Amino acid sequence: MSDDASLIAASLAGDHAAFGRLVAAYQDRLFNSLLRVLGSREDAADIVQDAFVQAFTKLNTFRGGSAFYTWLYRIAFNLAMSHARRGRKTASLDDRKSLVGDEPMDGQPTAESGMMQQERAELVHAALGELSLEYRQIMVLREIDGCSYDEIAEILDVPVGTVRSRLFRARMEMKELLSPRLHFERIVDTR
Amino acid sequence: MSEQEFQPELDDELLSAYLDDELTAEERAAVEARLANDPEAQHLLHQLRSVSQSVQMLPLEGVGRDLSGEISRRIETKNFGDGSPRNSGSSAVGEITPRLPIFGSRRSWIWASLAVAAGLMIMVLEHGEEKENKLPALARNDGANVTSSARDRDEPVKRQKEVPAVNGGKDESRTVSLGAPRSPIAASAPSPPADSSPTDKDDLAVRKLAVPAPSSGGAPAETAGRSDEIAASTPAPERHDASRARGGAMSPRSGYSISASGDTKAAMGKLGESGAAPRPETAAGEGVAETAKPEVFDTPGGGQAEREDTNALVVVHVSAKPTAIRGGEFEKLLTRNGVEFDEQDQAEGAAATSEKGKKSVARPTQSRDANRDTDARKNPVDIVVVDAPRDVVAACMADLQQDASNFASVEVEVEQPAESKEAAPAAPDVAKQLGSELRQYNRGIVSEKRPADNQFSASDSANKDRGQLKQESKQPANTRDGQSSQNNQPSQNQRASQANRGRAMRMQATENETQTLSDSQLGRRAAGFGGGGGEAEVLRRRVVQQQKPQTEDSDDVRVLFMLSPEAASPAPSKKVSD
Repeated sequence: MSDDASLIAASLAGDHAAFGRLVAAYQDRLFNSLLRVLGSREDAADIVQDAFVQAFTKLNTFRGGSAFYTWLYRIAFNLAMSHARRGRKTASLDDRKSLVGDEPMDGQPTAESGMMQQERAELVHAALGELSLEYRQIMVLREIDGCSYDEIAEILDVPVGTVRSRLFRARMEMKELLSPRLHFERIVDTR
Repeated sequence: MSEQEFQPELDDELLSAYLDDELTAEERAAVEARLANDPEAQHLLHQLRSVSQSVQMLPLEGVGRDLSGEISRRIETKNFGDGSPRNSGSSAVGEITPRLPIFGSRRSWIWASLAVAAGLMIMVLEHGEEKENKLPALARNDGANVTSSARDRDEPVKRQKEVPAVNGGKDESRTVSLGAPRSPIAASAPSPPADSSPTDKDDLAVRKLAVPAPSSGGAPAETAGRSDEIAASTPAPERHDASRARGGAMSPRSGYSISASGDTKAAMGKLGESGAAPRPETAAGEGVAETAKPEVFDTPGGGQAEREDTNALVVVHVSAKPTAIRGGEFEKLLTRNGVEFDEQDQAEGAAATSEKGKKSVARPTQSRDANRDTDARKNPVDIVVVDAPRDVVAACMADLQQDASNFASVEVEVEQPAESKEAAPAAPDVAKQLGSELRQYNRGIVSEKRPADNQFSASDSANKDRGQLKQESKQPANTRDGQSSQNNQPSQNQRASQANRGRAMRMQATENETQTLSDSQLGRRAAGFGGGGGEAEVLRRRVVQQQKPQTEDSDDVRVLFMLSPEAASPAPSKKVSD
């Protein structure tokens, strides 16, 4: 029995701390993914809590046929979809800056590399925010969370073929957004 | 597989999936074959990889705090709604039983707020509706303890309104639902039963009223049961309006409170009879029951109608000559003696009883007189109910005795309701006394089947009934009829002026009735003592309506005159010498 399974069993059995350990195990990973989807730390934190609360209330329905985090992500992404469709803002400039850290001070030796990384992260984050929610979700699940196509299909409740095609289109759109900014040709050429 | 066999879109998807290592072996072989020969495919693959790497390079962000505590609190709130601290001592989430979320979103809070607002609005509207339903103000004042729910209030009222007019005179209730001025009654009434709830004031009052005197025999349980049922009922206010109009001028709105007090006085009068000293032998529950009669019959003065139903009745059989009947000599005789004749056509039926506020003195119409000859055989008996002081009745009897040219015979009889023989075994002998007084005016022929010692004589039961009537006649008018004592004075003035000192009403009995009913039965029927038929009910209602509406004198009596044509005497008779 995996760690998750034992914690779930313990939670269902009344172990007070078991579900807390599950929260601790997945809260940051889930928060990071939701932050890239929603663009707001506050919203991401709210959805993380909502997702864990809902997961707890439905814990007895978890069959164990998939990984706990897949099940948890499915709950969280559904909540995120509902949240985003209610018209919440996704990412603001301030949010982006907070995601990539403070801008480096001019004239410092490490400023160039730091600026490059920060600028790059900011541009990518902004590009993600310009994707549709569906593309954003699938990009995050694949590129950030490293989910397999099967896991993405389960989380998003779509066929694997849809995952493949949707992911390809999301990447193509992301490429169009990032090419003029990051000089992909040069990057590719230099590799 | 050649390059041309691949569709461009599908090929590019395979490149993306090739990047993720999500291809089957066959697909992978095909993509690798393409990449080996297609620079564009190689370029696209680099671009897709660059995009993927760019996103993967985003820094990992953490929440920055442990959310388990917050999540645990939220779960507790969800589970117990009110934030009950049942598990608040533990930060562990797992100790809480999973439940459906209730207030997990702002929308839920909005709906909850709307539900609360709707509840408040319903409370306000319901309050207003009760006002529209004209619930008695007094009953409402202490109504906090009156009834458990609107449904409990409504249903008994409906049932009560459907009670037939003739039900043995055991209607309950009115007093119970009166509300406020109940404490005097309760103070003088016997203690409530041990099982009475001290928190339900109305019920308590009812029980107090319904508690029988020790000598009342088996009646208490039944009476108390009825009272309990009535305790949840609400008086129908419109039933009081007419009696209020007679009792004094008042606005319809104030009528409720006065109505309550008036009925309460009636109840107090009943209590005086039953619960207090004078008549310990009468069950207090009857007092409660008697006050219900006005609600059914629209009679003023509360339970007096009921009292009279249980009283003996003096019946005077008058054999009139046809010319006297045609000429309305009997009506003239009554009018001469100050008896206001309230003529009502019997065909009006029960509906006519609601017109009780009208007291016009009516004479028999010409058409009626003309029909009297032709209808003489069909309707041989006129029943005239007279409510008047004793001296007025005596004067009428004297006139009847002296007027031999119009009235062939006069015969006095005391009719006793069968029920009252058992109901009031110890009742004093008022009817007998009155019958004895009036019997001196007997003249002419007397029915053989009405020997004086049979129904006219002072049998024990008859004595008791008469005694009951005597008791009533000795009661102050204000306690007997729920009228204020101020109303006594005009009544006395009226008597002093010898105008309208009594009231009379005519009814008719058909020939069939006289064939199937003896005179005593007919008299009883007219007085509402017996029978459950519709016509008997009508008769009873009409009789009850004529309850001494204006003469509140203590010596008022009721006499039933059976006026029949001389040739159509309803019973075989014999000559008697006076």
